[in-house]
Amino acid sequence: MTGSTERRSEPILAVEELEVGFSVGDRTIRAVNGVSFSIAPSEALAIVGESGSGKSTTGLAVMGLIQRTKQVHISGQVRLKSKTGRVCDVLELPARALRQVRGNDIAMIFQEPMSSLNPVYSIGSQIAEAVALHRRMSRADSLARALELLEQLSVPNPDKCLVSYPHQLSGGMRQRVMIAMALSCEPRLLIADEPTTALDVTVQAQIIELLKQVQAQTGMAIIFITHNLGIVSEIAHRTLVMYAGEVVESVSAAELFERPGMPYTAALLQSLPRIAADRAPATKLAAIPGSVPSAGALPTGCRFHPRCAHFLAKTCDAARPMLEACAPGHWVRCHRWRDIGDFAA
Amino acid sequence: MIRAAARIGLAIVLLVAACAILAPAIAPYDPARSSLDSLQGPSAAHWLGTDELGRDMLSRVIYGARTSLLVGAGAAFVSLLIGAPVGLFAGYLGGGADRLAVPVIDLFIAMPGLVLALIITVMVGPSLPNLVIVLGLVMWPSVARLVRGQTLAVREMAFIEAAVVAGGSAGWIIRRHIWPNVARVVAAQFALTVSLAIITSASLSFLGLGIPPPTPDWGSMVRSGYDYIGVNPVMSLAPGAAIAFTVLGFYLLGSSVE
Repeated sequence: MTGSTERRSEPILAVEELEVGFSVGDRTIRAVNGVSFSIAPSEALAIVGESGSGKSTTGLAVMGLIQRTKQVHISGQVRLKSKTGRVCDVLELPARALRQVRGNDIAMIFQEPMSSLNPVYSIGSQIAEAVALHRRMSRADSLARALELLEQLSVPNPDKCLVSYPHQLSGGMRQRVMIAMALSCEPRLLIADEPTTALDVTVQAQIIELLKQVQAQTGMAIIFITHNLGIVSEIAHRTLVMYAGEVVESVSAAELFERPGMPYTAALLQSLPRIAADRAPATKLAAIPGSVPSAGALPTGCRFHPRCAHFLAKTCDAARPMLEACAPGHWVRCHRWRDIGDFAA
Repeated sequence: MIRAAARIGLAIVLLVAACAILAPAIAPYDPARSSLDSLQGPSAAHWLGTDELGRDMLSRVIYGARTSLLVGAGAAFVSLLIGAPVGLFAGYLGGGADRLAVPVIDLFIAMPGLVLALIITVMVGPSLPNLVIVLGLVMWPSVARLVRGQTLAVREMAFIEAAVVAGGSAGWIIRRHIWPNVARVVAAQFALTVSLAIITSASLSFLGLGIPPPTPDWGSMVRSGYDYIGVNPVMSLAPGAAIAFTVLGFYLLGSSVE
């Protein structure tokens, strides 16, 4: 298994049995159910799933952005090893300590580079400000740091970029600026929530390449939240597939494409458009029938059973399957993984 | 069309401001000096005539610009000082802060401003600083409501989420990220608030609760001219026109820069 040695080094983030639920009226919508994973330095973890699978909610919970209220229930643990070496549970941190974690230990970038920058400030002052939030620095020093970051991210004409305003930059440039802001305080973990979704394909590739480069230089861990399996193959060491709020498969990136264990994962892979010479051009793209169940009305048993091609009555709709190890470093949540997967029993 | 309105508004405001600043240089007489030529109509010596104490009306109208601008801008500033923080915090924090602020704002807006100003002025007594504070107290809720609405819109923008994620505190985000984006609209509202303050202060003065004499004040001038309207109508009309002109200027400026 590739990357298994890295995985054995001490994790900087360990999420255990994370549960997030929202009360709407007298119903509770369970957005995230019992999600556990950990990530070590230099590791890239992809969390893959359709809209509504709970992947973004998981990311927000890790940032401590989901506040417990009467309507919002959150339990489990998000253990973070901070720069000082102390381990804390993000979910239990008071607001002030949480602000120390955000941007400093964990940084986050978002899907919309178009609106993620404040239109009234120049790029330089926005990056400098992000630096100054966690470092005591003079304005001149933080601007110098901003320039250094833009150079590191190979932004052409970084001096000019510093004094420009967000509306003067392209989407790709803005995402680079967002990454520069995220990297400004040398976080140990970067959460990238669909960072390339709003960008052109060529720019997507550049941004991914950039993130890989930064990771190689700094040893930062990256959690990639995406629905794009192409990105997974390019950057991730390990993949967590989520469906209807739960992890349905946890697998190394190489094995994900070779032998997916869960029918859902397999169906996702089949629905990827591919350029293949041996395939007739008229072949229809495979699609998964139906849609993701709403978190307020989950099916019994396996949550994927109504859409599954391998559905077996009285098995799949009876008990909720557990996450089982089907191969070393490969876990799958399916009653029938022995029958349908490519695993020696 | 909108540009033209803004230009006219700006020209009027600048003209009034020039009168206020240069009053000692351009006023032909001392506005407080009385003479025996009382209640005269317009003449070559007194372009707008004289009042019941023989004071030159033109000089008094010119000096009156000082009082009006001072009260107008001062009251608008006080209302901004109270209204902006209330609107920003209620809008950004939401929850309990918002549930407390909104009914208070609505309560103040529901009460007629002039009546409220009258009551408070009666309690604290008329003077220039009191008038500024009272008018500010009466007008802050509309500023707060505007700021709160704008804050709610800006709060949902992705760059605010990015600022939270970067580790910014609520106060920092409000000061550095929300206020600069809300300020433009507030600046436009500022001119409208000034015009409202001028007209309300003139009304208070007309009712005898404004600036105490002998400070030249347009509202009080309209009031004293009212007693002699049959003898010398210019005594009321001139300061009245000055009020209308100034309010129009601020109104055009404020309503066209949005």
